[in-house]
Amino acid sequence: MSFIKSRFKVFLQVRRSFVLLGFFVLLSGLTPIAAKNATSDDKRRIGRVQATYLTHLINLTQWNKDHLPTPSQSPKIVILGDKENGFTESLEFLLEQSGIGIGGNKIEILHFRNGDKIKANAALENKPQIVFFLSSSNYDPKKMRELSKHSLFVGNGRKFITESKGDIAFNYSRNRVRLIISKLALTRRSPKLNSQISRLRSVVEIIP
Amino acid sequence: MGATGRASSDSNSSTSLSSFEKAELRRLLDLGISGLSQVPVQGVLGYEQEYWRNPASVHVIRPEDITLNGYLNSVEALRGVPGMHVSRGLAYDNFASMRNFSGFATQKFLGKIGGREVSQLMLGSANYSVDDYPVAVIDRIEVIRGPGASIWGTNAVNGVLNLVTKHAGDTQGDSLRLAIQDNGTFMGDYVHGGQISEDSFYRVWVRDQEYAEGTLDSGSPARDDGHLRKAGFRFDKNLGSDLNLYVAGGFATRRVEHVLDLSNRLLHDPSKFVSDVRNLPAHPGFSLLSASNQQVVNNLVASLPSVVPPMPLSVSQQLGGALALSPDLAALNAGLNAFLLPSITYDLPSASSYPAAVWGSKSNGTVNYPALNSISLLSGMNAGRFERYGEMTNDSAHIVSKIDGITDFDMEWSLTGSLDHTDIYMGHLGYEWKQTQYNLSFDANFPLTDRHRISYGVATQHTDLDVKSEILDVFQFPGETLRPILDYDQSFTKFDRYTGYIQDSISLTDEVLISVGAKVEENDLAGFGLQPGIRASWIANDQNIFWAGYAKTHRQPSLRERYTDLTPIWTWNSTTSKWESKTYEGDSSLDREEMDAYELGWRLRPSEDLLFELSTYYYDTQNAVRAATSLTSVNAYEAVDAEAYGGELSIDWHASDLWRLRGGYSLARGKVDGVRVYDFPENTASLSSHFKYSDEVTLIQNLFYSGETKIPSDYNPITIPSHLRLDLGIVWQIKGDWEIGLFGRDLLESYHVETMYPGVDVEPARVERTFILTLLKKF
Repeated sequence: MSFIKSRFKVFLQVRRSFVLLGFFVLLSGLTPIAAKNATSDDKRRIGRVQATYLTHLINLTQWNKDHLPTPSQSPKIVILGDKENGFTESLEFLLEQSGIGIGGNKIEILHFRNGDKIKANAALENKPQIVFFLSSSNYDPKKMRELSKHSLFVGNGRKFITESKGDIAFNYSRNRVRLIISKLALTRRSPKLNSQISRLRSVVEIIP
Repeated sequence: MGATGRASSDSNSSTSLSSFEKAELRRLLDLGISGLSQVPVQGVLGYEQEYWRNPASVHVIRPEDITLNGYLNSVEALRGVPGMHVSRGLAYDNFASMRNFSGFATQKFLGKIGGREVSQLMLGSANYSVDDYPVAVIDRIEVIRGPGASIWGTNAVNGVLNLVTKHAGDTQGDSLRLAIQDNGTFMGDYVHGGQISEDSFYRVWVRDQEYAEGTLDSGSPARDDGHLRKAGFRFDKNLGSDLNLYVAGGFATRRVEHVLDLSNRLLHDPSKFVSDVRNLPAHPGFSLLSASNQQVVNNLVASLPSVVPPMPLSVSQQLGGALALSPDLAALNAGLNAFLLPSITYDLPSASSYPAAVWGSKSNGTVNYPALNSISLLSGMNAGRFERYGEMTNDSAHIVSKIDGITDFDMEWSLTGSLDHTDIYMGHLGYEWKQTQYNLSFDANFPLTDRHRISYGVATQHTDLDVKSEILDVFQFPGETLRPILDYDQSFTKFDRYTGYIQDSISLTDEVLISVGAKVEENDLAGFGLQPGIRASWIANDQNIFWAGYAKTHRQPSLRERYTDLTPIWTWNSTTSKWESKTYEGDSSLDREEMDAYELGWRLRPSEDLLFELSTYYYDTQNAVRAATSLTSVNAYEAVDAEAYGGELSIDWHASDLWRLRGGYSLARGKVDGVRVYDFPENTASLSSHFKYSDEVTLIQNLFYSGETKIPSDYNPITIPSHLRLDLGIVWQIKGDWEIGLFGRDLLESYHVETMYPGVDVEPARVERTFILTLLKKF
């Protein structure tokens, strides 16, 4: 009798294991049809995380005096592109909350839609300290660079570094927003990112 | 202070931030680059508790909530969480319960600490003091009120408490915390973290706690001094892109004394005496007695109810002594003997029939015994207090390892394994168990189409037990069949548990989030069970979120309830002249508790500086396990139907950059089989103020109110009065990372009474006014 009981118990345990294994395999099989698009709520959260990154990056960037505005002028961040998902408001809020400035001065944020190329070009000719390309931007970073060589260029996606010669890019993958940084931004004289970023290699990708 | 100016040519860009989004931005700002890289964009309950759209009631405790308030350990910090009741009866432990029906030793919320489920199958509870970590390694403590079985698993009945430790890379350098109370209680811990290679980090830590002796309600010494010493480590390694490993471990050893109340454990059954007296008037020879002797008998009959239950031997000895000296009874017996009638005697057990000398050594004054007041013959007598102290040791060690990653299909996954060994000896009860537990779990979540995120997991747990009982010296009766107080059924020493869960978090619209899931489980204690749950939240506007939830959840009975016989009482039977034991059997038929839980919540954020949260609940429980308190009960625990309802209201207000005010109120009511119970305070409230007097100095004020509780007992129900507690503190950041704190606790009164052992007749202890000096060196 005890033999039958023990065999039955083994059978039950094997059955449980198979049920759990089947459950696991079934759900693992669903993953290849996983989605890549973010909902509008997710996009706004991406915007908030990007704005927070940028706030920290301002603190971690040094500009030569020559690349800063005169004391009577505000340092500027130019944002280019449509559909910003609350990025500009988030950045504005964070700068106000943190009190972070550039060269000890308040930062002015300028935002230009894709259709405002003339105004945007004029703004870049005034040498803003940071230029941020929203993911919806159709501005050509290379051409904009010609207008303002000593601005920190920040954008989206790996290609922004590898092809558009940007300085910093945000990359949304694996449900996270990560930083990709051009090595040039760490080694040149101005604007120069603090070397402590290079110590975060496990979370920041640095592209030579 | 900098500020921003803004110019925009984009008329479509004015999608303003809601106050919830602004508050989230503030939180994100506190994270560094490394922390931001770990923020999930699509957050789901179970993985990201702080997401403001979550359809659940969540409270998060940060390390500074512990240090700034002068708490010695993380359990004390639960005092400020609405819906939680923390009771500190003795020097070395705080008992935490949540949302009612946790008043007895078992606790009905799931405790996870450092990635491990910490629960002793024997008692169905965890010892958070032993499993606690130095505050420097704690990232946060998430308190999720309400059932969460569909993602957290079994025993997440009233809620979940999840202590998350920091990555070793975030604890680099040295940290020290010392705290000393004016009564001599001391706690000190030291943490050191270092880097092994570019992608691997470690930390090691030690902690020592020395408990000073407290005082019982009666003024007697509580004999609760002792120590707890522990050490641990954690190693983290980045194995590749989004692939991380950590291994952590630790051990703890605690030595304290604990008491077993024996005042109602040795009884005398006076029924022979009562029946002899009551039958005498009907005896044919009664009329032959003198009128005065008849009057003595009539007086005795009038002073004795028809049934007198067994009473403490100490009372019977007083009664026997009084009767032996009574001239009336002597005259009566002389009269009875003259007519060849049997004497009226009050038979007491001889001193040789039980270990009288041992009992004598356990005597400690008298104790309140309300039943004596109902019998006029016994009025004016006191029950003797007998207490047996014994060493209570707790030695434990654990190791846990977790590997987690994110695949190219955005599937976040983790594989966690742990091994836990605990050896607990309760010398006062003569009971010891060694529990070795193996856990393996796989958890994952991934997006499925644009609006779904699937969370799922499987887990298995195996437990080995080694249980031993001793016959206590006080219960060694010559010639009797001896029984230990707690006697475990040795047929049940191996337990397996298999679980699987799936939950879909659906963004139905931009305003409506639904989370639906179920957990299946098969375990050797509660069989097969399905625990479904559904939750939803609705963003009504930028400032208001409403949420609702329904869940069916299970709690498995503990081994103590199910397989342990309890023999707490021995009674002298005058008729047979024998000692007889009273055994309450463990009830192997006790099924799992099944609870249907309904919750409604409202989150109101008028601005990023102000948050109101209201959570309400109604729990309907079948087979709720309650301790039996009647001498006629067969089992130590009984299954009853219970219901609980109540709610919590909390407020978090950043009144200015300098001043933060937090408050909470909780209402909790419960009924067992339709009758109100009061073992959980009906009303609790807290108010906490942190005021930054300067960049270096913070002033702290905490006010706690706890309503009255009534602790059931088999002989002496205790009322723990309501109390108001005021704590004041000042924290001074002296230099760099060094901080000094001075705290005064319970400043309104010299002491109040609390107990952490409801239902087992341990005298409540005084929680006295204390002053604490702390020194903290941050990383």
